[in-house]
Amino acid sequence: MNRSRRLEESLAGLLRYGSWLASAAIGLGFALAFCDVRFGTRNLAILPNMRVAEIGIVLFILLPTLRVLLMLLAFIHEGDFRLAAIAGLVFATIVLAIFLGFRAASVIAQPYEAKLPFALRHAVELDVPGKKGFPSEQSRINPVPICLEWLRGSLLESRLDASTVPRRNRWGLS
Amino acid sequence: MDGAFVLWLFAVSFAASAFGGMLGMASGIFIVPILTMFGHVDIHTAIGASLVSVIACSCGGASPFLRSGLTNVRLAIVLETATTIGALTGMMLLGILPARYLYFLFTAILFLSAHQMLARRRDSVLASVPPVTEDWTAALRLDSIYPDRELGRDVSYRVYRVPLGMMLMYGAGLISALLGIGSGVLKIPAMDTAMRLPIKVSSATSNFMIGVTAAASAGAYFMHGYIITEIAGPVAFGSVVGAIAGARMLLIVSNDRLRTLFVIVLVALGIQMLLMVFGVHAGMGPL
Repeated sequence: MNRSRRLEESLAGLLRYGSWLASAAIGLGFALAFCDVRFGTRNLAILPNMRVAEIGIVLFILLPTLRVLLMLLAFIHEGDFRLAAIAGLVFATIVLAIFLGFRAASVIAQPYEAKLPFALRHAVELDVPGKKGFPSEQSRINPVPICLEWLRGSLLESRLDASTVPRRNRWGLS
Repeated sequence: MDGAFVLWLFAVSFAASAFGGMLGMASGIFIVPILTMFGHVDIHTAIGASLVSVIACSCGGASPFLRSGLTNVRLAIVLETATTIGALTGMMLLGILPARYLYFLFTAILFLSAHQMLARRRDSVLASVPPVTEDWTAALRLDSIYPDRELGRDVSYRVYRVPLGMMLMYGAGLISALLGIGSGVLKIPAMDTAMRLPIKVSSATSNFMIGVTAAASAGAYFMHGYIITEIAGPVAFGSVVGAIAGARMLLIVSNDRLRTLFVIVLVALGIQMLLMVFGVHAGMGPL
């Protein structure tokens, strides 16, 4: 088997088993939820089994990035440094896009008046109901100054007492 | 939300992904309108679910394509530099360009792509074209072969005009981020017409690439709670199964039939987009 074929097999294996693992987690989560007597409440979110399904969703989101990482490692292993550099660039761009997308989405999700230099840092971290308008807000707000503002805010943040503004995200972690 | 609705989500995702997967497209462009119009799902939740569906479709469908040797992974990673940088640029430009101009631009691209794909009825086969040496293609060893079941043999193909292809991919990534759509519908014509790849290779390679474009947005959406597991779960599950079924269909359908089907989809989407230019919304959720 040549090197190219081996890489294709590895990628196929990663995507295939990754997809099935993620699907299995989702299926298991829903199967457990179906068995739960509270399923009839019409609010699946309250069921603890939904966490299992959520892990499946996370796995799906991570798979393409893991695929690029696998390609990067494979090209390095093969000594194909041109393609390795290209794969490294793609990986770095994805990480940057997630980082900027996360930050920009955080800010865009908040009411416009919250997008002020010092309010920005708070707006990112608070669970403001206005975030429901996120996609429509996208069409009229330019995230470039917001991102720059965030970068400035990050620099300032390091000098401030972080404990005064508890950071909350989906996981409830800092 | 009850069991019947979960089954309905699975069924529509399966059908959309089977059709999209067969063409190498993301199913999101079908799923969002279906969820919003028929499922009465909130538009934001539908977009979040569609992003997961795009990734699931890409990951699920990629495996059969890779094993059958249709995907050009070296070319995919080269083109992904342009699509990801394009998507990043698009993300930074959000809100600067008026949406109506973007719709018009997208419509023009769709109709142009349809015309180009109709004009090019024959796939490029190495034996039938004069040998051409291109620096990028040779340096990165992008030329490859794919097994054609219709012909019953392996077919060699060359990759032409890589710089032009990368420019188009940059545009596809840019427009994808600006309009919030999967960009398979732009990537396939770019590879098919500009880079002269066989249509099946274009579809398989596009399918391989679309997951990466969606991953960044999906990560951001997920962290902010826009991806609702109760909706996205069945959609993702149905998308994986549908994408695998679609990938198997792609392997047996003829190149000409696939091209014709794709042109029909391009024209339909173009008409829908043109209606949006004039303010008529025909269920195009993410736009």
